[in-house]
Amino acid sequence: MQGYILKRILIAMFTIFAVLTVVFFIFRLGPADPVAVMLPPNATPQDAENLTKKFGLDQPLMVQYTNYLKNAFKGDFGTSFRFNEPALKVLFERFPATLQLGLVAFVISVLVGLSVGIISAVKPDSFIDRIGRLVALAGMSLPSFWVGVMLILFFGVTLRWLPIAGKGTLAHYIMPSFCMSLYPIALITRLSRSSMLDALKSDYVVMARIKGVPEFYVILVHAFKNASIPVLTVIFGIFSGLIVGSAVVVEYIFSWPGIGRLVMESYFARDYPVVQVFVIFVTFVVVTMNLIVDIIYAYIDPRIRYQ
Amino acid sequence: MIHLFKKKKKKDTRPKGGIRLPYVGFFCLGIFFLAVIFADVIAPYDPQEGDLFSSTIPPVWQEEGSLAHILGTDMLGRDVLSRIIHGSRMSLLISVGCILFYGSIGVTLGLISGFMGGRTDMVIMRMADLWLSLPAIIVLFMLASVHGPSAKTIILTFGIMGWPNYARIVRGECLSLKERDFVRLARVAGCSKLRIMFSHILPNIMNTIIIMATIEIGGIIVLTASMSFLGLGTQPPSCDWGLMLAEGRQYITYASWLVTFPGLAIVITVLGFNLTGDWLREILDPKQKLR
Amino acid sequence: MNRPIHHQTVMAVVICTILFMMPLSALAGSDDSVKVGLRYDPSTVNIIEIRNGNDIAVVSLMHQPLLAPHPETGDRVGVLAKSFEILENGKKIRVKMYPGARFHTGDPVTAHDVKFTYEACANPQNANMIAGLLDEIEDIEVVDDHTLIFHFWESYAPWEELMWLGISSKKYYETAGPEKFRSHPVGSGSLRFVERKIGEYIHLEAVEGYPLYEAEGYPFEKIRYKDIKFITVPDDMTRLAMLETGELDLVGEILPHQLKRLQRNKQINIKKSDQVPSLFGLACLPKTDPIMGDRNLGLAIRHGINRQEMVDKIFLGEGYPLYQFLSRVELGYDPSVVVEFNPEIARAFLKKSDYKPGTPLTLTYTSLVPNAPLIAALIQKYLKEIGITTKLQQLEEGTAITYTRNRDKRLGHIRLYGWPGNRDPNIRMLLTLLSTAPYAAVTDRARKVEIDNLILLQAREMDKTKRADMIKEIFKITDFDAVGTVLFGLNMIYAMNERIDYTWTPKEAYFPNLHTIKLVK
Repeated sequence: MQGYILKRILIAMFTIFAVLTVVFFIFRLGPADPVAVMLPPNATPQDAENLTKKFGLDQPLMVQYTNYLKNAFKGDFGTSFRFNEPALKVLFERFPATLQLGLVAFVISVLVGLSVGIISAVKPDSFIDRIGRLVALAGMSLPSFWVGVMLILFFGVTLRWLPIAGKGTLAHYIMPSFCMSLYPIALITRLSRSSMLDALKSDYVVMARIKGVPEFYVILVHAFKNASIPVLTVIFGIFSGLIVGSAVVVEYIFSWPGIGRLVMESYFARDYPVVQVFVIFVTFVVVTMNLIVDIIYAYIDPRIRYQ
Repeated sequence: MIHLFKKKKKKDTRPKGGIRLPYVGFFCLGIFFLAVIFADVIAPYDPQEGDLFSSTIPPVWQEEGSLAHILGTDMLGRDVLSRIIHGSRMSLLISVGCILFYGSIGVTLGLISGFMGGRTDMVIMRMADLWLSLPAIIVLFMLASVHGPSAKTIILTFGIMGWPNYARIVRGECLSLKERDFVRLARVAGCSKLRIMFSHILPNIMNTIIIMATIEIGGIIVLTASMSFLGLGTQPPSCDWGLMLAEGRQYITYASWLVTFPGLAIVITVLGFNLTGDWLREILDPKQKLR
Repeated sequence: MNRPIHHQTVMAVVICTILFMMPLSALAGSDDSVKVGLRYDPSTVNIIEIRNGNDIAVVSLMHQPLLAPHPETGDRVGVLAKSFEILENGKKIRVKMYPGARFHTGDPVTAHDVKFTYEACANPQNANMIAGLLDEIEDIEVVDDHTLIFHFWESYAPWEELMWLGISSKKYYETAGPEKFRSHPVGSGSLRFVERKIGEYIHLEAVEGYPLYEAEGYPFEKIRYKDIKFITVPDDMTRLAMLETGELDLVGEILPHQLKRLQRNKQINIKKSDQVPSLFGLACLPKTDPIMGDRNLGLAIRHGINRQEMVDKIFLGEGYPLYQFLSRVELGYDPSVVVEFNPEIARAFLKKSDYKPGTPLTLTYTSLVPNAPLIAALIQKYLKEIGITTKLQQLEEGTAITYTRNRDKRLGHIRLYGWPGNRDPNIRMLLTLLSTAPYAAVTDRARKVEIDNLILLQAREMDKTKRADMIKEIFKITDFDAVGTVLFGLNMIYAMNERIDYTWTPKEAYFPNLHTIKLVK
């Protein structure tokens, strides 16, 4: 077991190292010269030289690379061109907002997705099942950015019921979290429905029913427990997906002050250190989450360890 | 509450021995492919040519609408319907481009991994793990900030990033096929490994590959459209639904048709692919390996 | 059998919705606060580190400069400076300051603080946007607490362009340390720094007891509101929708097509200023292909583009055609220079040029210019009509800047640019027209030596009329060469909630003098 965990940790560390390297070379070897980009329009060639020296860009690439790794190890990922603050600090200031929205969307998706999924499986072709299947289909087919724009147009601009952008009151959470949870709800509903259908047909559920276990327990204890493993995998995946992929689109549309909007703004303002630190941070989060999931699985299911 | 969970006799509404045909899905896909194939014939105008004197005409059912432009025109006076029709090609091009790109990488690596086993298998599967921990949008950010956003960048990004799923599933299939008699016989007959992989195993997993592609294509269309929407993908003046949405968004408050219709086009197409994909999966993959 | 559940679900949804809606009533802000929507988050709150005009609008409110634009006339008048005395034909400028000004810490504003601020801004470490210009100053000599002399290396005609920097406290820097000095700036302006959340907002509040003294030319007034919040909302549509719902009070940078809806809203007042001299134009790049230096091709392009139609169609008439690389308020602007739109003339010039019909010219643009894809598409159409084939190319801004600085051929033949407004053409000429300039498109025109000399000389000419003539001469030469085409300038459109009133200061490019916002009710 310890060997397995150690191996996993080593792989995770290697992944992060590989990403650090890729990020460094992609940004250094691209056509945009960071110094040219940082300079204001009325800068003189002398200013350009000063900046080049300040950022150590006049040194050979390999020296820059080792310096970069050394600094990264110390947690220094460069200074944001735009804010003149450490890029990591800028990112961390904005991360809580993303986390809050992500958590709200996550809770909504899991609650709605699981309950609709289970009910649909227990009562196939019932009213809830039909609604559930429709929601699942809609969630899979509606692009969230379009839904977001439509929501703003309808609830924000036409009806004026909900605030359009920013973060402040609880009402600010409604539209973005709805928008964000649309796809995960669909995914969880589908998956939990089909896993539950399988589980309900299985021998141990039939057995439990024959034994006279109350239906409520059959469903929640016997069937759901067994159906939950594939669902759990997806749920973990969804959480990292929420704070990464959806965050960028949804935060951009609803002006949510999180890291997704930060990275879009930084991208358009050509603030590469922030884009860079975002990439590294997100990879770090995803790798860590995967590591935790792997270790938990190894505890739950001993077969995995000996693969 | 308990009564909800009481067992009720299941009523199977499906026709015996078969699965309902997804008529809605076929209909949606029908429209989509009609647009793709006959874009030049059915589109009433050139999608790039605009007449500035007829800019932002609303759709025909609105007050100032005209029959000349059924879905209205955009800021440059370009016909929205024509642009949507031509946009279908870009959607198909990008999504099929992505899937072909990463599909071929994924299938090849999956075959090698499953067939060779041992150390090769381990290396490829670890690489797949590594890949999965890097979200595609991040890679897109890097590539787009360095090389500029374009359709090529999108295809490249998703092409590089998408293979692990394919590789895993193909590997799984390959592992079970490897032990089957026809593969063993081929080995005894002295076929080369390459030949076994590509002419014996590959045809047998084609079903799986096609189902996966159909299921994924809808997702890819949404994904690439949202990237174009963010300004990380296709660039103007090309016709792309995501891009049309992004351009139209500025005018949403008084020309909402610029946003509504490209969005609907995406929804219809994706719906078509999703319904058809589900149906294909049910008839070709009854064990539901590809959930 | 399922009925009761449905009722419960529906009820739960309704109750949840109502609960969520409750906090909505808290949305309306307090009555004496002002909320301004910004497209870009200011990059700093400290005057020492300002990067662009967006920063100036916010940061300058906390400080007093030596000179500031008068809110009604736009002329530069003394705020901290009581008088300016030009010595030795402009090589030295003696400034006398009003003695009454005080920082928010209570310390008096002295000549030492001025020297400190200018030196900090000139320090390349701080990457201040005007650091390059401050190189003109050799030294700042403090005569006494309220008198100082600026020593220039050579007489410097646009010296007024250096006098708007807000003054920071030297003593505060020494006592609070550099980190606090940066993040919690202290000035002598009528608004004081309260809080900043990067990416969300900057909060300033009115300081009690202002104005502290009277200045001769500058109308000091008491601030009419309690506090002001600058909220960053990058998306145009969202920002305007927030103005409509009352979440914002004042929004600038409104694009013309967004006006239609706003005009229907009775609670919103829209104002326009045609003073903003941002320029939009096409740079022809002979470095990519010598054909772009061809005078006849340049003239063909100039005559072939219908600037007025472009302004009318894309910007709904909210702008005006421009024919010189100068804006209306700038020195040397000549309203009589007009290039007639006439495809016939354009075709005739094209025939005389070395351009071979059918050769595609690449037209490059970036997303930084508003509606750039539309403008580019329209230009393509005009040029096609006179017989020039073009290919459009959108570049990422960083890449475009790098290509420009390195004079890389991948930039294409023609580039669509937007150039931020200014009061004085000097910097622009130094950066684009000088043959060695970093942004120069044409590095070897026939009268290169003559034009370079004129550019350097006009900056030393203290006599305004003589200087204006020299600038006119420079533009006559560039007009003859006909490399590149200036297209138009756009009006600045800004809109506000009916409960406030604000008017743009003439001749200014960026949201100026926001402390003059009045509460109507």
